[in-house]
Formats: sequence, C-alpha cells, structure tokens
Amino acid sequence: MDSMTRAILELWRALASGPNMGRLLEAVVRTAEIATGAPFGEILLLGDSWTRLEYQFATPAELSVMKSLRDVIGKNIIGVITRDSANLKLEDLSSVQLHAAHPSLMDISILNVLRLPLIVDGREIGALNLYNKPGGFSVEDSGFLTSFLEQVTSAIEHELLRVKLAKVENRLNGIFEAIADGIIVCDKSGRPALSNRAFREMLFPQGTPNHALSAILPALLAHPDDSGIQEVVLLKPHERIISSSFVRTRDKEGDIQEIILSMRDVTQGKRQDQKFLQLISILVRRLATLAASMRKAKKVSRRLRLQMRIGRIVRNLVRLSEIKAGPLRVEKLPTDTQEIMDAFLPRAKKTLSRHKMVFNLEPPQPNANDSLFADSEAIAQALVSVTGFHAKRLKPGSVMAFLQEAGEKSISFVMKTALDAWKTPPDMRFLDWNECVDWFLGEGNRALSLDLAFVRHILDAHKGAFSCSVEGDKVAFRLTLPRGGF
Amino acid sequence: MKISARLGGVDEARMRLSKDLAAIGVKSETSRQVCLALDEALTNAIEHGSSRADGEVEVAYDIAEGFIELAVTDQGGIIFNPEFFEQLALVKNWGAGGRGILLIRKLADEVYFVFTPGKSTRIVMRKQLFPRMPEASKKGISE
Repeated sequence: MDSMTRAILELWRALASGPNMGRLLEAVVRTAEIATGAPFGEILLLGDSWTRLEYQFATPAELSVMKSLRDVIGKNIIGVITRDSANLKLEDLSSVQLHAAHPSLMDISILNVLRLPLIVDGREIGALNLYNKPGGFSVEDSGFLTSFLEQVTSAIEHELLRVKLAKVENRLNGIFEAIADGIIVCDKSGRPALSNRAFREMLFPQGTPNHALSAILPALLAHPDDSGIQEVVLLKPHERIISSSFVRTRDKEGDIQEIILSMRDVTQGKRQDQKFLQLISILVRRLATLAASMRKAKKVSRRLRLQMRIGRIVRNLVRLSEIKAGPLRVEKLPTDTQEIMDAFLPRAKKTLSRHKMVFNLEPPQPNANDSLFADSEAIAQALVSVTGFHAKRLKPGSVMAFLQEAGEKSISFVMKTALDAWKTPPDMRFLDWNECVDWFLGEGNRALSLDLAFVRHILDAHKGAFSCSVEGDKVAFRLTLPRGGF
Repeated sequence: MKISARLGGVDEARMRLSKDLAAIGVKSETSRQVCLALDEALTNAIEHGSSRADGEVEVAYDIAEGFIELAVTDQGGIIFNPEFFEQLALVKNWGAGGRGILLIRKLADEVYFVFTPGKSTRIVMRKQLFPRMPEASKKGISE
C-alpha cells in the first residue's frame, strides 16, 4: 500500500471515527502533503469574528520548525502570534500574503507556499497551507487540492459546529444549574428528564427521598391549559412554600412533548405575611372583645383600664403597620441634644415618679450639647418609650441613671440600671419586632409590646443604633445618633 | 371516588377506606389514624374548598409497598397557607375548628398541598402502614 492510499484510508477512518477534530485535521494535512509532495503543511481555522485562529495543526516536528516562522509572520505580516498557545490574530484572512517573494519569509527558508481557503457555503472558515515543495507547487497541485478540500471542508465544518455546540451546551448546562429557581423538565407522562440544582435542593433537601414530585405532577398533567401557575405547600417533611409556573411544549402535530416546571421558594416571604396576618387577626379579635366589655362596663375605673388596654393594642397595631411599611419617614432638621432633653426630661421624670423610681441625670459632659440632624420629637418619644419600658419592669425604688456619651462620630443617650433592679432581666429580643411577634405568638395570652422595636425603627431611620447590653452588674440601653448629616 | 361536597359523604369514604385497610391487615390504631386524616382533609375540602352546593370532592388512595397515599381534591382552588391555620390553631381562643391541618401533619408522614388557582386544591398525604407490606400491593379506590 503506497503512502497516498494509506493517507486516504486514514482520512476515511478519521471521518468515520466520530468527533475528533485533531485526527481529522491531521489526516487532511497528511493527505495534502503526500498528494503534493510538500514536506509540511498546516490547517488554520478561523473564529466567526475573523479575528482569531481557533485551531491549528502540525506534528511536533513541524511545530518546532514553524514556531520561528510564525513569530516572524506575526511581526511582519498578520498581527500577533503567541509562541506557546499559538493563537494567531488576523485582521482579515484575505489580507494574508504568504509568498516566497516576501522579504521577511525569504530570510527563514520558506521556499514556497501553497495556500488554499477552506470554504463552506461561500464562507471562508480557514486555510490549508503547504510549504516548501521541491521545485515549487504546480497548477495541478492547486487543482487537485481544491477538489480535495471541497470534499473534506464540510466534514471540518460539521466538526467545528459540533465543538461549538458542545461549548454552548456546556455553557447552557452551567446557566441551567446556576439558576436560583428550581427547574424540572418532564416528558408528557410526567417522567423527569432534567432538573437543576435548585430544584433538587428544594424538593430533596440533603438528598432525602420523598414523594413531593409525585404529589405535584398529577395536577399539572391534568391541567387543561399549556401554561399556568401552581402554588405548592410542601408541609411535611420539607416545610417549604413553593410558587411555580409551568409550560407544556408541543410538536408540529400538537402532541405534548415536554412539561417544564419552574419553582421559586417563597417560604420566607409567605411566613412573614402569615405572621403579620396572624398577629393582626389576634389583635383585632382582642380589640373586639375589649370593645364589647367596654360597652358593658359601668365602673369608671374598669372603663379606664379597658380604655388603656385598647389604647395599647391600637398603639401596637399602628407601630406594626409602620414597621411593616418600610423605612420610617422622619422629619430630620438641625437640632441639638439640649432640645431633645428639654422635650424628654419632664415626661421621663413624671413617668418614673409615678412608678416610684429615682431618675438620676448624670452631669452632661463638656461637649454633650451637640448639634444633630434629627427629628427631635421622634427621638424624645423614643427616649420616653425606653423609660416607660424601664418603669414597667424595674422594682419600685430603683434608680435609673441617664447620661450622654459623646463620641467622635456619634452621640449616645444611655440609660443605666442595676441588673438586680429588674423584676426579670430585660430580653434583648424585644428590640426586634419579628422576635416580639414570635414570642407573642409562641404561647397564647402573652402581652405584646412593640415599643422597643419601634424605638429601633426610629433610630434606624436616623442611621443610628439602639442596643441593650449587660455591662457587669448594670444594664445599659443605648440610643446612638450619628453626628453630622446636615 | 367522587363524593358530593356534603359532610354526609365523609362517612362513606371513611368506611370504605377502613374496610380496605382492615382487609389487608392494617392495625386498628394505624387505620384509625389514616381514617382520621382522611376525615379532616375531606371536611376541610367540603367546608372550605367548595363554593358550590353541588360541588364534588374527589378522593383517591393507593396502597403499595407498605405505604398509603391519599389524595383529596376539591374544586375550590383557593390559595391559602396551611401553616397559617396550623399556627393560628395553637394560639387562637375563639371559635371551633381550625385544628384539622395540625392533626393531618401529626398523623401523616408526608403532607403536600397543591393549589391550581381557581381550579382545584389537592392535599396529598402519605403514611407508612407496615414496616414491610405482607402482600405485593393493593390498588385503592380509583376514578
């Protein structure tokens, strides 16, 4: 078997062997070399943008020969060629001039070049270059290779397309897996064909087997429309709430092909809403009961007590609505700590004396009367609320020290009490409305107070902070406002 | 099995299920729990799921490999959060009822609600009947 026959056989094998770009290109180049008697050649393939060579082929020996050639070509003719990754940037392939007459090539022993474009459907996808045929390339060489390339270029194009599709598929798979919504694709009978990570995590947390999918799918299969929405509560064991939408795809004949179900975990949002509704429901019920009692109450003292309880519930409802409505709208104006103290002190003293407590105003520090940009009335009200919280929970006769701390970037109003003065130690959870509501809903007949949560809401609106901490044998409530902000 | 959306239909479904469970040797305590779960699901479907007096509720169950899967479907399609009623039942002190979902959760191993808005509400419950099924499988009431 002569070398030409072997080359053609190898070419056929390469074509038949399936996806292997390297082997195919090698076989094409070998065949071209043998057919023309050129000692070496290469195939260059172009990307869609005509700016970069995606593949090149040569044997290791040829590569070493051509390495130097490419550098020279890169410098003088067609742009940048990197030595190791051998990526060649082209402005336009048609501008490539590889002729022996070119001065730069003459220097590096390229005697002659035959360059034939690889054309598919009138589009140039690359080139076959053959070099240094003894005696030069003939018209017959050119004619034979042109016919030869017509035959093999389609195979190269298909292979290129396959590689490109594999890349696209890989990318799409990555995107599919990365989508935060759970997605599952089922066949028309509901058999799962494909699902992404989010779906698996939603329905099979920690990979635990369960029957949620078989509970969801029958309703989809029976649905009369090709698209729609479903709400799913995976009550047990998942404890998840899922909002989902589905689409059915059909073939040309109108037969169902696949069902694609997209799911979003809405548990947190729904639970918040649920908690809110639950609380409203209970508070409004209590209001109705108190209002009924009020109508029947004859004694003034009882009416007053009922009135106070109604007032508390209404205040909680108002605060809850404001907290839920988002950031609090406060009217920030230039003010100073003195203005706040003037509004706060008389009310605080009155509240504490009513509860037989001692209010101990510690002397203000030298720079304590500072300018602020704040809603002074809202801050004073916040201080009154915190004082009221103390009054209800401290033992009679307790002392509450009030002081101001002036920091470089902030000013704090601090209320300090002895830890053992509290009937029950203050619970930090009262600063968070969610925690308050959880605590209230945790067991029946608890009293709800959103006062401290609302104080925090006020401080948040000022970009300040509200904290409660135990410092040794003292409990400190600290309301901090930032300086500046004018 | 389809029953009319009236509470009278609950007895019929429960008796039929109870008979089927007894026939395959399910312990009376387990059978009682399964029937109670069906009772609660059906009552909810009839009372809250069907807005029409002539509405129907569909009951289906399948027993296989030692498990029963029960599905109750009404034509309401009203979306609600069962967790809401479940938790409300723990704290509320007014009115009767509201504890059905809480009971269902306690009685079943798996519980799912599927709402097709405006069309149907389906509750699917699954419970283990035996550690291993003594006979191959048994199909329950079908359409």
